[in-house]
Amino acid sequence: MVIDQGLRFEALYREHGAHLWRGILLYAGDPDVASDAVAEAFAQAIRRGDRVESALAWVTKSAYRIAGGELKRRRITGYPITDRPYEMQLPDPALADALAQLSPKQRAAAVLHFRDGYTQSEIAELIGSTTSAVGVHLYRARTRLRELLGDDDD
Amino acid sequence: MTDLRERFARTDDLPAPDLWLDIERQVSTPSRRSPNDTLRRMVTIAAAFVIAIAGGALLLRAFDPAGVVPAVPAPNEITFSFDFDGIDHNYLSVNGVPIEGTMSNGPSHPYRYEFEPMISVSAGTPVVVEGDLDEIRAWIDACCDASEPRQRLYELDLADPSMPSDPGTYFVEFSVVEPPDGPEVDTYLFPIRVVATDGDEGS
Repeated sequence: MVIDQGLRFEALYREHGAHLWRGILLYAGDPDVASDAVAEAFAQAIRRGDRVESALAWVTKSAYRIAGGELKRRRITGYPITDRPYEMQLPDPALADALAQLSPKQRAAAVLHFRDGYTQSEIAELIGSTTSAVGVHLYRARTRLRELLGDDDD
Repeated sequence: MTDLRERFARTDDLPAPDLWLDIERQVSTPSRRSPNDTLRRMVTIAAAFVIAIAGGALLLRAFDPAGVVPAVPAPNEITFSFDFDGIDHNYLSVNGVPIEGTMSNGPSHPYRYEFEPMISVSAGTPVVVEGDLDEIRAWIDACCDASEPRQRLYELDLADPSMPSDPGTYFVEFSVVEPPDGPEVDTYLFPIRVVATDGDEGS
């Protein structure tokens, strides 16, 4: 049974795992947290097996929540990838610097909306918040990113 | 100008590690949780239980029949929270214990909310404001007549806020930018009775 679920989730991982890892990295700012969160989310999904219906949504939700917990557990308050730029070549260092200025929830909202195209209500479900709170996070994230990057997303 | 979505899309060029072997390894082990994690969890649960009991006892002591929360002995702390995370939002807590109350507004002031009941605190009580401080300002206002505009006595320094040192009744007024659909400033009023540390309630 676990082997069958392993095949099912390996296919999901091969298709979406790297994209999810990058999203968690942008949210948490720490490659170790991103790796731990994504691996743990997939492992939990495989253990649950058939009880996981919408597999991608379930894994995404779990990965963001695990990463949020890891940020608290490890007492990470900054945005490590901008403090240790030698560890990885970021395609857009200015974006990473701007994301570092946001709160974790603002970053999660921005990544899930601007990068992954989720709606406010979907983001609320993913990160365990309310639609109105996500609206506030997203508004503030957009405003701050525009200030810092001079971008226009309209 | 570059679209924010385009900038985020560029991050897909970032190399990602292959975690599948780690995932398989985790599935083959019962739990990632170490004995230390289990012990930490048990300690946390026990501490939460003790805090819950202490909090309940404090709440029982805190409310008097007139609906005014008496001052709690120093050292104490009053927390105003505007982080808008969750429906069960607590705006106000004393010494970490949430204060049950209502936050109501009227049709003539749709963006002005007033908290009930009045809270009683010691003069100079340290204040904690939770939320995005870039979007929050606070004042101590005269209380509690219905005159408009309210008389602002002074603005609270949110870097090191505290309750007034003079006994009396006040509003603590907060203006908070809440933009569900765009910038909007909401006003929150908390009626406060400041008593001297020796129990004098002032005028």
